Amino acid sequence: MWPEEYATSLTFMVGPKYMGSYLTPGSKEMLLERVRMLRAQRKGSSCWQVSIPRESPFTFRENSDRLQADVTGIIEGEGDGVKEVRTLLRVWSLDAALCYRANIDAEQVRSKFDEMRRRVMVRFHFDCREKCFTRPEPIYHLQVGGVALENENCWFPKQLEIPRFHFPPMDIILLCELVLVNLFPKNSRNLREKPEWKKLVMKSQNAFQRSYLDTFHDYVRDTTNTILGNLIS
Amino acid sequence: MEVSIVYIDDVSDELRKYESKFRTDPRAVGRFTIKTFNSPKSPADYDHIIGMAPELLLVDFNLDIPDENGQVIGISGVTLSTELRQKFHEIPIVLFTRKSVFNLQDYTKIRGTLSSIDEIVYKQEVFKTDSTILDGLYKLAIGYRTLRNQENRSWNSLLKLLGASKSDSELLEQSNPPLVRRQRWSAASVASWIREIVLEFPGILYDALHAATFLGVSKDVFLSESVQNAFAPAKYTGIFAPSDGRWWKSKLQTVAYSMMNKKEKESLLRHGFPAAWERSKGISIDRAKCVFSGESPADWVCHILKKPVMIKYSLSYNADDRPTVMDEARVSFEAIRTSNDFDERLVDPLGRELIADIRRMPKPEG
Repeated sequence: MWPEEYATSLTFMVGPKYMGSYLTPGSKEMLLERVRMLRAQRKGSSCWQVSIPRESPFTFRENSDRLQADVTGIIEGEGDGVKEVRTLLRVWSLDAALCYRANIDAEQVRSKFDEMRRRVMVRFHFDCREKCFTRPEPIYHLQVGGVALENENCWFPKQLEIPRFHFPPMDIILLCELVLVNLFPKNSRNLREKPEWKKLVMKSQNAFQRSYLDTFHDYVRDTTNTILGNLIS
Repeated sequence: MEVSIVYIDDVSDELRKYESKFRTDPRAVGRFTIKTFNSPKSPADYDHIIGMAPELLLVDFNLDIPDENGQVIGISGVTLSTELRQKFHEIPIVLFTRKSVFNLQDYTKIRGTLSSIDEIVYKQEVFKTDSTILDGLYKLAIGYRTLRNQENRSWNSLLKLLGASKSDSELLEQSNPPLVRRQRWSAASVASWIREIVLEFPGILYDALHAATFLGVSKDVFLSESVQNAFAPAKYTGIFAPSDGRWWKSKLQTVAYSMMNKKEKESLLRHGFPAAWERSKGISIDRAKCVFSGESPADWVCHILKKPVMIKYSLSYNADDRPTVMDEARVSFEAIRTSNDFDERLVDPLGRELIADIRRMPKPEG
């Protein structure tokens, strides 16, 4: 059963041999709590869900540039199938010099940073299309920005919820790989070389991206419509 | 510095035989004095042993032969060791036995439960020409003596005995030392931690093979005189230093970095150090070569084959209960395919899914 398998993958992922040393205290426990909820849901219904609320994100420790990433989102499925994947990757800066430009930015930005000691510099929504969509958008897409929480100390105007790049769904494990490659490229090399880690990531690729990429592959060969045209139709 | 041994056995001939050997073997003369005792049967006997002021206790495993009065101790040497440990907190206890009655492989599986025993030695092996067991026993006793003589039993005094730097101290603190900060330690528990964890598992200290692989070179290159001279500051010279050598991982890195130029430092240590050595010496040196693919430099050591391996051609192996601060035990694809010692049950479930493919896959060309 896929959800059970996913629960197992997430449990391994946060273990000491894999992501354990890259996480802040509490992140592992939070995810394991979500895993227990996933397992409990399966007993009563064929629908299942893994959610990481923004109030308690899955947080990586800061890297040498004082950048810190966290992941939140919701993954829903039914039976062995994945229905929707909506995840958010935020990159925070803990370095004042990166968060605030003296004589340019408003003093409030600085005072908020002094209070919070960090600020969201960039946010990536790995989203899927709304059921009732008003504008053309790919089924799965990447959008930079979005609506920030008060404590993020950043602002992306609603009009800038574009462009939406076609992009395969990204679950928690795939996002972990993305964070390791980008925030911990050298330190995580040994981990990323491990066959067990590759297997873990490949399982997520198969579950979350394979069908999307197979369809994408068909669209590349379509002589009647463009890739984006197909993806937004 | 002579070490006073008390040898406990239930066979008088054995007591005489090994007493004589310890008194006459040139490797033992001047290092050991020996007294013997037929296995204790009463509380008074234990008091008698205490009165002998031992610095090293050798205890026979099989204690079922009656003495001249027809008395039998009725317990094994393992049980006796536990009893002795309660009375001798600060003295090493060695099980002195025969291969035919005590299987060392079985012991390694239950080592944690036999915490009163410091070492197991086969009697027949001790005085063989090429044996280093006497050296080991001597170092064990001297190490204990050093611990015993420490008036200050704080964490910092222990770090001083190990010769640990600040960064190593932080790692040592994560390796389950038998005390918490500012508490006093006991000689037996500290000796067991140093010998069975700190010196046993690679991570903070490395043996020659792990040190060589960490630096990206072959073991032979690492043990060559010139490389040994260069890395002498990294050698572990603290308490219980084993005769086959250990090196501080942190100091290996510091020494290697001091030889590397800017460009070499930008690459991984196992690439940068061999390049730096070749550049400065004008010679080419052998790299750590993967036992499975032949690629170099390999980046890990196969737990079973004790050979360098690329991480990508290895799986995590739960062979022991080492602290997580130590290097993970990994088993090479080569061992998975060829070694009878490989036990599939010790691989993580994720790795287990890969074993069939590993056995089938063609061998990559290095």
